[in-house]
Amino acid sequence: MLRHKGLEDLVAGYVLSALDREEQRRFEAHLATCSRCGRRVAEFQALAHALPLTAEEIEPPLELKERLLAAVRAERLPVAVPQVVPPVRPQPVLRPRGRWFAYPAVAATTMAAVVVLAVAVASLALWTNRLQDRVAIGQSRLDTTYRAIDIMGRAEHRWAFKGTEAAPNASGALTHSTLDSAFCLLVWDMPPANGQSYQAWTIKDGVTTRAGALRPTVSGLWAIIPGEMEGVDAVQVTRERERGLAQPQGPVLMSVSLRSS
Amino acid sequence: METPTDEVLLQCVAMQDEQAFASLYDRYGRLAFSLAYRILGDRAGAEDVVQEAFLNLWRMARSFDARRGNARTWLLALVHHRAIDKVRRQRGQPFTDHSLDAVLAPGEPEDVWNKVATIIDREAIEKALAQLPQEQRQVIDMAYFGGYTHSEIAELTRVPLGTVKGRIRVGIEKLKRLLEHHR
Repeated sequence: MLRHKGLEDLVAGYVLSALDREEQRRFEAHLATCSRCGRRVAEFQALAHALPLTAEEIEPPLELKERLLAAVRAERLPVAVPQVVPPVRPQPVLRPRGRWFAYPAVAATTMAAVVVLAVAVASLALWTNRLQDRVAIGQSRLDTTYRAIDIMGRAEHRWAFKGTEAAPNASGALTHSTLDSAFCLLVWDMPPANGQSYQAWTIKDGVTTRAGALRPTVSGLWAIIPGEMEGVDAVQVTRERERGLAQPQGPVLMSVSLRSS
Repeated sequence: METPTDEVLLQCVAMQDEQAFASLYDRYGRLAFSLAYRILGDRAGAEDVVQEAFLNLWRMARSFDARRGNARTWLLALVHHRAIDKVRRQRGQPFTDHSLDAVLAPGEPEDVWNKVATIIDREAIEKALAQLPQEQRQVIDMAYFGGYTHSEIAELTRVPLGTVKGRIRVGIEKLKRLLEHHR
């Protein structure tokens, strides 16, 4: 077992997830028996929990919430209703037929098999859980794709447009469906992102509002922009160095006027 | 009308209440996304991590243990855990199964530091971090946001392993002293 002297430097690394596999295994083995180190870990955790606050604030895409809600809706289970269990008549106690436990070798083998089985079941449960996550994410992305198809298929308004001088080769298509209360924006042949992001904006009564980041398709980029068309004067796409800006700062690569249609 | 606490919302989520789930997302989705993005530096990856973490919250809400921290720390620990796993896989680093216990080990119920975590604000932690020597800030940043282990940090910064461990420990202890007035 490790002594406290060798552990002092590991407590902080442990709460920051900076231990390698072997260090972590040894430290956790010690932690299970040492309340002093447990208290120290709890103190340092409180500080580690404050570190996320120092990350630069970035607005998540609007559609992330929709995807999440669609995913939880898809896997929502009926709430279990307590059932009245009829009284059970006491059964006579059955005694084991063989005394296998009287043979240490058999007992040890059996116990080992049980442990192996338990580990296998736990691993399978973890794997299944992660697989469920992936499936749920895939499903929600598929739902978003279906939504885009719905918007494009049911759209009453369509606009085709070209890029600005900053994106001379770019072209795009914008559709709006009243039934879905959303726009679907598709663009192709945009200039290289160079590590920056493409951001969509709506302009209404002179006020520019962020409408989410564009996501890649097989050959271009797209975004679903929720909202009614009424009052929207234009939709623009810019390239931004910073994420989560409230107002555009980068060059306008595309601009489609809804009034001129 | 009184605003429900996180813990009340989490109890509702345990009963599969979508509205409560949406409210928790509204409260912490931005913070969770910012943390994931800081670690991964990529929006699509950050979205995946936040989605996985919130789905975990939906599924595990029943097993939430208030002794292991509040709902916010639980959620952010999930995000951190997933993002670090992802960034390590992307770098081809050997996989280290950092259990959530590493960030959510039960504290003493009367431990005031658990309460401190909920009242430290951005300004206070940034101010305290700014008072650390640059080399201590750097190793804390590389470990927590970079997902690097002690030995990887030592290799990357060309500083002896013992010095890296010491800087992280001294840095965290100093942060604790600097933030003690919040108690």
